[in-house]
This record gives sequence, C-alpha cells and structure tokens, in this order.
Amino acid sequence: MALNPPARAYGLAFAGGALGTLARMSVQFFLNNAASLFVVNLLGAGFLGWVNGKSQHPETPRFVSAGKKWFWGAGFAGGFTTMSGLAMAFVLMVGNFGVMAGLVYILVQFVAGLFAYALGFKLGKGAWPSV
Amino acid sequence: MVLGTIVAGGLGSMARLALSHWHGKLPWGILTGNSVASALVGFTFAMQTAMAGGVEFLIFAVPMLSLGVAGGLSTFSSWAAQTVHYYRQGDNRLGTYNLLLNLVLPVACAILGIVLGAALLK
Repeated sequence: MALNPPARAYGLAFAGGALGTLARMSVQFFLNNAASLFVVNLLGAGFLGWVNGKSQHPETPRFVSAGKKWFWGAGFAGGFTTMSGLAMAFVLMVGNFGVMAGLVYILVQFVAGLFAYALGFKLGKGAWPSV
Repeated sequence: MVLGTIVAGGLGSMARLALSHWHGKLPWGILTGNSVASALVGFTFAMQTAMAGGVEFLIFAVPMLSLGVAGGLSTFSSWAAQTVHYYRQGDNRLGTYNLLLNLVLPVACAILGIVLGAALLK
C-alpha cells in the first residue's frame, strides 16, 4: 500500500468502516457485551488474516489491489473489531467481578485473537504466516 | 440513530487510516488510536452515568461516540496482525511490547476518560 494513501483510500476506509460498524452493531444486538466483543474481535482478526493470506496465495491470489485492502482490511475489519470496547469491558468486569476475572477475559481474548489471525492467514494462503 | 452511528464508524475508520501511517519500531498510530478511542468510550460512559434520565440528546450522542467514532477509530484486528508479524519475524521483544502496550494504555485511558468525565460533568 502507498505510504500516503490517496483520497480514494479514505473513501474506501469510510465505506468499509461503516459496513464493519453495522456488522458489529448487529452482533451486539443479539449477544451481551462481553460475548459480542469476543465474537467480533476473533472473527475480525481471523477475517483480516484470511484477507492478508489470500492476497499472498501462490496460485489464486485475491484482495491484491490496494483498494480491496483499504476497503476490507483497513475499513471493514478495523471497523468491525474494537479495542476501545474491550478496554471498557475490562474496566467494567474488574468493577463487577474483580481483577482476576477481568485479566482472564482480556488475556484470553488477546491470545485467542493472535491465533485467530494466524489461522485465518493459514486458511487464506494455505500456509502459516512466515517471515 | 443507527445511521448516525454507522457514519460515525466510517469517520473513525478514516481517522485510523490516517493515524496508521505513524509507524516506527512499533505501530504508534494504531496504539494512539486505540488509546484515544478508549478514553472517549470512558468519557461517554461517565457522561451517560452523570446525566442519566435527564438529557435526550444522549440517546443519540453516546452510541455515535462510543459505538461509532471510538469503535471505528480503534482496532483489534490490526493489532493482532502486527503482533503476529513481530513474533513470526522472531522479534519477540517488539511483539511483547505491542501486546502489553495495547493492554495497558487503552485500559488506563478508559479509566482516565471515566475520571475526567465524572469530574467535568459533576
């Protein structure tokens, strides 16, 4: 991707981010806050891994163009997932259930998020992320 | 309200794209976006608590700011991608810094937002 993205990149990030926000709100409509954050963050991390992996697929690459990465990566996946919601959920969980419950919730989500990204990448590329 | 929140999410995503190019040894732009968004969520939480039941515009403002702007500005997926990238490069030190900083700073900023919001709106 270009170092200084053109105006089109911001338009695509806006459209993808708006779609990601709508998708996140839809999940939050059906699940409670703690569960919905888990779902959106793990699905979003896995999706971004899949997009990045698919763009490097040796035979049938997709999402190669900068425009698709801006829309689906920077826009949709970024707008679908949330770190601020997770930070606030941690604070509320510590207040309601204690420090240990909050730490377990956020650390499990962090570690699972890393594995979700790596797994998505593997599914997209057919190989684990490499150096 | 839903449409306003979706538009706000798009605007937050544009701001995150602009910040994401601030990338030194660590992705400082993403860390800044996550921290500022967390402070905003904390502030809106305090705003909601302090003004509960009184002000009608909060019905629109709180979701637009917390679910929309802050949700779009912050990201979990980019953080995961960058952290995996560091670990796969064998740069465990930067990977661990990126993990811990995105754990500590957004949480600290969310608490700061709550405290500031509660103090300002008292």
